[in-house]
Order: sequence, then structure tokens, then C-alpha cells
Amino acid sequence: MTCEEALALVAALVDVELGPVDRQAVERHLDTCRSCYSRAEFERHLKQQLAAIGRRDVDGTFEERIRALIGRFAPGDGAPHAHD
Amino acid sequence: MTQRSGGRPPLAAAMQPAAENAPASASQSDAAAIERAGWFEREVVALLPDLLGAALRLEKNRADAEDLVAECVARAWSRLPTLRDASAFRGWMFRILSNRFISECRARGTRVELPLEESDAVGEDFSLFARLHAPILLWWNNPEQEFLDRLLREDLERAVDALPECFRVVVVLVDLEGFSYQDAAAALDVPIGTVRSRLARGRSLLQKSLWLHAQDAGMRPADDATGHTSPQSVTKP
Repeated sequence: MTCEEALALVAALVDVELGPVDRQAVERHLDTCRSCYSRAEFERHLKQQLAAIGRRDVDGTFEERIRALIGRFAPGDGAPHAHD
Repeated sequence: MTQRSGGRPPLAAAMQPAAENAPASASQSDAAAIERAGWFEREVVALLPDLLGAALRLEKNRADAEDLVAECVARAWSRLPTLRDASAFRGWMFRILSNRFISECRARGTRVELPLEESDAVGEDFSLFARLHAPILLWWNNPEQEFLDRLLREDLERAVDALPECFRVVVVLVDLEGFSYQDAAAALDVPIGTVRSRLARGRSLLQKSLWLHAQDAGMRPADDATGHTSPQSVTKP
């Protein structure tokens, strides 16, 4: 596998979207190519940092708002009873 | 499935409509409804940090993000009888959240779907790594890692927020919330190839945005006069 071929698959590798054959081929290339290995690690770490902003602490006020909203639906109101 | 899992046991019986648990007395039916509502509340509250995190990046401000999550919860409750697999709750909720956001965009007149040829024309194949990569430094330094270490949450949020909606929603689902391509395609009701192409374009634009911001903050490109990349700071002081 060439560097060009490996780099075309790096994103899917980081996303755990490669099939076993392609994954093994890319990983074999990364084992012997420092530049491509560094690229894959960079993309992996950037994805990890993006994942960290996907969660946000919820303050008590907002949680209470949602609990109150659900409390108004249930249990005497809401769709499940429409099927009773 | 690669999306984040809450790790909670499915409570299939609790979430099933009471009619499926027949025969049941009125008191049994009420008890089932109470149990179902309790299950729904626990699942929603456990998922709030993820839902709010995604909604903040979609709406770009706290008030609208909280309203989006609240609307998502209300719609989810009204559609709860259609959820047959409790373990699919997270993906189901994000599908509702995404669809609600896309509907809002359409109502505002914002284009959330670009024709393929137009989508292909947005952003070149930009690689932040390629800009940072200075082979001469690799034997004693790691400029790429140093760059990442100096990235702040605000830098990433700003870069995600700058993405056009059609790319941002895919980046939010796959990169921020850990959805697989298949699950993101199901949530957005688009072919998996569309997820791949929008994700690639979105990441390219996001990396270019990070790079331009870093340059504004004083970082010099790898091909400057010395050929030396020195990520002194990513954020502005």
C-alpha cells in the first residue's frame, strides 16, 4: 500500500469504519511509515478533542425545566395512554 | 455501533404501551404508565449532557439550544410508543433532535441540503496536519501534538460553529457524538455516501478554520522563512 492509498483510508480508520482487510492493510502501512502514522494519530487526537465538546454540563435549572416538562406529560397525559 | 452508550439496561417492559401488556386492570395500567414515565425521565436526564452539547453546536447559543432540547424531549414523549428497542433510545433521540433542527433551518430559509456538485465545490481538501507537518522536526519534536495540546475548547467550538449547517450537523453527529456513518445516515435520513462526503468536506473546512485562527494568533506556516513551525499559541491572548 502506498502513502496516498493509506491516507485515503485514514479518516475511515480513525472512525472505525474500515472492514478487516482494509484495516489490516492500513495498519501494516502505518507500522512502517512514520509520516502516515503521525497523520493518523493527529486525526485520532483531533477527533478525541472534538468528542470532548460534544458533552456539556447541565445546570440544575435546565435539568429542572426538563423534569418539569416530563412531569406535565406523565403519567396521566401523553401518547402512551392514547394506545391504552 | 460506535456511538456512545449510556450503559443502562433496557427496560423494554417499562417503555411498552400498556395495551401490549393486556390483560391489565386500570390500576395495573396506571402503574405501567408511571413506570414508563419514570424510565423515560431517567433516560432523558442521563442523556441531557450529550443532547445539550450537540444542540449548542447546532444552534450556537444557549437559549436556542435549550429550547431545541426541550422540543426534542416533548416530541420524543409523544412518539415513545413507536420506539420498540430501548437500547436504540440514544440514536432515536438524536434523530429527533437533528430533524427538529433541520426543520427549523428550513423554516428560517437556511439551506441544509446542497446539490452534490455544489457540495463538492465547497472547500478544498485541506489538511491541518499537512500544514503543521515539518519532517525536519520530527526527530526531536512533535509540532502536530503541540498544536493539539494548545487547542482550547473555545477554538474547537468556534470552528464547528463556523461550518455551514449541512456539514455541521454531520460533524456533530459523527465527531462530537460518536455516531457511526450508518447511524448518522439513519438519523439524517440520507444515504451513507452523503454522510461520508459531507463529513470529509466538513472536516476539511473545520481544519482550515482552525489553521486560519492559529495564524491570526501568530502561528507561522511550516513553509515560512525558516521552515520551522512554532505553535506558540493557538488562541488570541
